[in-house]
Amino acid sequence: MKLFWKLMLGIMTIFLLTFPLFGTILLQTSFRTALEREKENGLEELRCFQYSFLSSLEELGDHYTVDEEMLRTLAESVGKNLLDSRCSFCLYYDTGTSIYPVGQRAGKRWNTLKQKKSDENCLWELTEEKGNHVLKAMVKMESGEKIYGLEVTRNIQNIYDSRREMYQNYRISLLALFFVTAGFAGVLAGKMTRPLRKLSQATREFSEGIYDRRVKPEGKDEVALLMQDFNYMADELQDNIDELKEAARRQEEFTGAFAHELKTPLTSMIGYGEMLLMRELTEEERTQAASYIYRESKRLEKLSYKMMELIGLGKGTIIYQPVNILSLLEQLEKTTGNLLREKEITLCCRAEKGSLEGDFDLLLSLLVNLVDNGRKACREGGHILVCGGHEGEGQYRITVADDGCGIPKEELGKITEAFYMVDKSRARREGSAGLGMAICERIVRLHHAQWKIESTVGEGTTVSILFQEMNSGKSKDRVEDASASRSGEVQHEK
Amino acid sequence: MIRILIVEDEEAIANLIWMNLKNAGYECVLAHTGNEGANRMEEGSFDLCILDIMLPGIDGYELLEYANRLQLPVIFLTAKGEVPDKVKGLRLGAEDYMTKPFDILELLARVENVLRRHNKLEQEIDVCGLHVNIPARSVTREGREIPLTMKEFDLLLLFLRNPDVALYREMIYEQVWGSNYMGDSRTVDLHVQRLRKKTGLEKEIEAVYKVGYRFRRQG
Repeated sequence: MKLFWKLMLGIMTIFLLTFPLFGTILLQTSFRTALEREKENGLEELRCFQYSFLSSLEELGDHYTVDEEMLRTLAESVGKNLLDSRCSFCLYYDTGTSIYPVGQRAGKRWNTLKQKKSDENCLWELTEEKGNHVLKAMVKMESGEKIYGLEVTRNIQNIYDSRREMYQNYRISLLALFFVTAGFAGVLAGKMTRPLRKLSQATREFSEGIYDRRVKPEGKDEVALLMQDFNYMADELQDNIDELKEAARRQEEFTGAFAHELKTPLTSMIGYGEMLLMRELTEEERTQAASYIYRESKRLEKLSYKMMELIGLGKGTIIYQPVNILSLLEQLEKTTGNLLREKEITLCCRAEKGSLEGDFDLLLSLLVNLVDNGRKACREGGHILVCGGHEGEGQYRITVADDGCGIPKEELGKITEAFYMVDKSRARREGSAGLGMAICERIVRLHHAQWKIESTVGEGTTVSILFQEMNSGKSKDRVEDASASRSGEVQHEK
Repeated sequence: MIRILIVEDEEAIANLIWMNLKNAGYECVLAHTGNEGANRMEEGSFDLCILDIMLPGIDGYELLEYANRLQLPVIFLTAKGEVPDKVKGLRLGAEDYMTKPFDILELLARVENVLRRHNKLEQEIDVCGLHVNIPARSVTREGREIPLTMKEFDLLLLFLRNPDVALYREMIYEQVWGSNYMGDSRTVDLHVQRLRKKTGLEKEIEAVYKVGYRFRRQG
């Protein structure tokens, strides 16, 4: 069953249970109250009648002998004076024969009443007479030795009539109220389930692939909260999906680029190999073919090493250890020395002492890659400057700057993509596989550092990397001890 | 002389194509970038262009449009080996599409094919006293007709077009019979023997130990 119908049914059941029940109780109570009042009025009248009759009778008795006719006249006049039109009365002898009106007999109750001593006692009963509800009140009167019975009959049909009428009205209004409530409940249930319907529609659309589908939460109830949660979930999911798509796209691009990088040297190797086998070549041609095969194989070898490095980094498991920056730079100079000397490039390292948390070999590889990029960009006799210094709170910045050819602005964003080369033919000549910057980026990311590459064509490139410095006191001490033997600031120039 | 433009940024591959096409008797011009390729196309009248797609500067697809305007047939030679790339290249109007790495012999065969389609290939070959008329598929020696079967004629043409090249039995089989070599070298040997005898090229078509055969051009 739908929630809408459940709500409707619930509201209507509550209505049907409560309204008739409380209404009936209310009407019944008011009827009882009215009846009670009538009863009290009746008894009051009875007492008035009794006193008025007895006192008149006593007065009369002083002067006259009281006969039946007199009694009758007296009762009639008292009745006329005291009783309203709804009432009638009956006067008996103690035997039960009536004095007024003539020809009536007292009921059984008179016999029970007669036994009672005090004339205070009175009896009353509710009966029906000729289709009318009446209240009969009866009292025992003692005058001298004589005992009379007085019965006042009061027509109370009017309260029964009004009760019936009220029930009737109540039923009509209940019916009207039922329909009004049903309509109201329908509107309410509809209003309550509308956001849910909207949400369910949105969920379906989302699952069908419309990932930018969102809902508008209304109000602050649970459903609105659910909608907010849905939106939040959708945001997260969309981000994840976008990320996955982006990752898949990058993966595809990478595979494509990798295949291309693989095919190019292979083409030369196969081609020249085939040529050497098939044809008799001149000495010069043979040497050329062999050197091409050798060079391209070397390129392939380098590519495979770099790929291994990149894949190894991708797994992302490195052991973080304190790395002394000064010894790192010392090692950098040693590693790059030979290559730089070939092109007569000056490497200048300046660094404040400090230590980073990371992997020494990876950090060295990062710097070597950057310096090597600088070397490729520089003309003969160029300069590369590596600087290190503290910055802000617990941060350490290393910059690698060269005065080489620079990178065009529009290419800057792409240089960290694997196999991307700004100047392909020059990169090939320099023996580059196009993976250096991709490797660098992974290393930077593994060390939770940030880097920025700035470049001006013709002026040079500056790469600055911001590391979190080691701040755990214990290890810092140890590192500083280790570097204490070295001078505080190293200025080393080749 | 048939002139072929080679646009290829990879120096090693460009030289490879150049050396082999030159050996097959074509005149070749090299261009290493897209822009250089476009300039060369403008300057000289070429019969064919071998084009790489991923080039610095103007890329291969753009150059193809350029070549189409100049009515220059183009063979794509590229590392992009996906079917959509091939379809795109051919749809844009390339005559043929080859992926790297490639067999030199296959490249030469495809070059010939394209040139033949454009009627740019020489129709007659005179070599070692033989006169070969390709459209007529006839071979004559001193005016006398030498009857050759279809396969023998194709075989002869393969030798004549690849002078001084050692042809593997597998390659010969694949080129002439057009299906994959299944290891049965007797078919090739048999046909070569008969061809030698019929055409009198017994000395010129020589066996190469453990490889196959080679047609040695005299003088």
